[in-house]
Amino acid sequence: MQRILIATDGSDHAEKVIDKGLVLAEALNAEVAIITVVGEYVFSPRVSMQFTNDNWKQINQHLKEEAEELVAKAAKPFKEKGLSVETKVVIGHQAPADAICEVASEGNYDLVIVGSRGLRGVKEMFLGSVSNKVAHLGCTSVMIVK
Amino acid sequence: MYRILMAIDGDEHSERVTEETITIAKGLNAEVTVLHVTGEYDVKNRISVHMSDDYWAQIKKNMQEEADKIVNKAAEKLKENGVKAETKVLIGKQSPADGICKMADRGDFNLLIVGSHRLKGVREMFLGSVSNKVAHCTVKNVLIVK
Repeated sequence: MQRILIATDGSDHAEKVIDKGLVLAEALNAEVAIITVVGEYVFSPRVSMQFTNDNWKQINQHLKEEAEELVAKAAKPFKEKGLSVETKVVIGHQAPADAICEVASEGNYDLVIVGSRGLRGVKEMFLGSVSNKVAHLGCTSVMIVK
Repeated sequence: MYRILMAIDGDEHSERVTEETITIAKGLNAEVTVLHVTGEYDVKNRISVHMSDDYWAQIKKNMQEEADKIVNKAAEKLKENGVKAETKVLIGKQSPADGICKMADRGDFNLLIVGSHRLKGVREMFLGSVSNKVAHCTVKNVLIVK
């Protein structure tokens, strides 16, 4: 478990995920990457139809800035502990779970840490949709933080 | 003290689960409880009505011996690597996932580690049925080792 990918969405629960990830990364002296996935999927088709191209550009730019801020903040405690940490922001049409798995596979990560619920989790009964899907996609070992 | 519950079913993948657990346990200076759940669920009802009590007793004894072998082998490997380990075998009518959850919730564990490719997994599409169920039912943090 030398390379750990930690997924965050900026929710309250994601802070817990970061905390657990920090403990594990420190214990294993692992290389860490913090990832967040944002994209157009957050808008329903009914809403997005009314956007112009300029609107889209602006929204994407805003999402990107927000996401970069989010991962930079999450990476801070890792830096403070002297761990190697990088940040990743994925913006696109794909679902968060797919994007997380893609990055995990391509980057040869040994472990993905996700939260059991997050921003979208309120809709879920118990285990969040993203963590559930990541576990099912089977890209790598998964730790689900509850 | 950080406490890990490692559930294994004794197949080849259990060795990998044990190895990952060693890495994590060493890093966190954790204590590991090795758990194997087996029981009458393994014997089909249609068959079991034809069995005498003596035969059942024999089967249970075999199950116990088999289970002891599985947990002891893993515990030895943990100990060889300097990890404090104890063993636990649950034999009963419950399913493995229910047994693991019950144990995880009862004990004071920080982390539950299971493998995703299990003996029963061939019936599942991708993620093993046991790890899938465990990810949903337990309140602990769960690490699913691929």
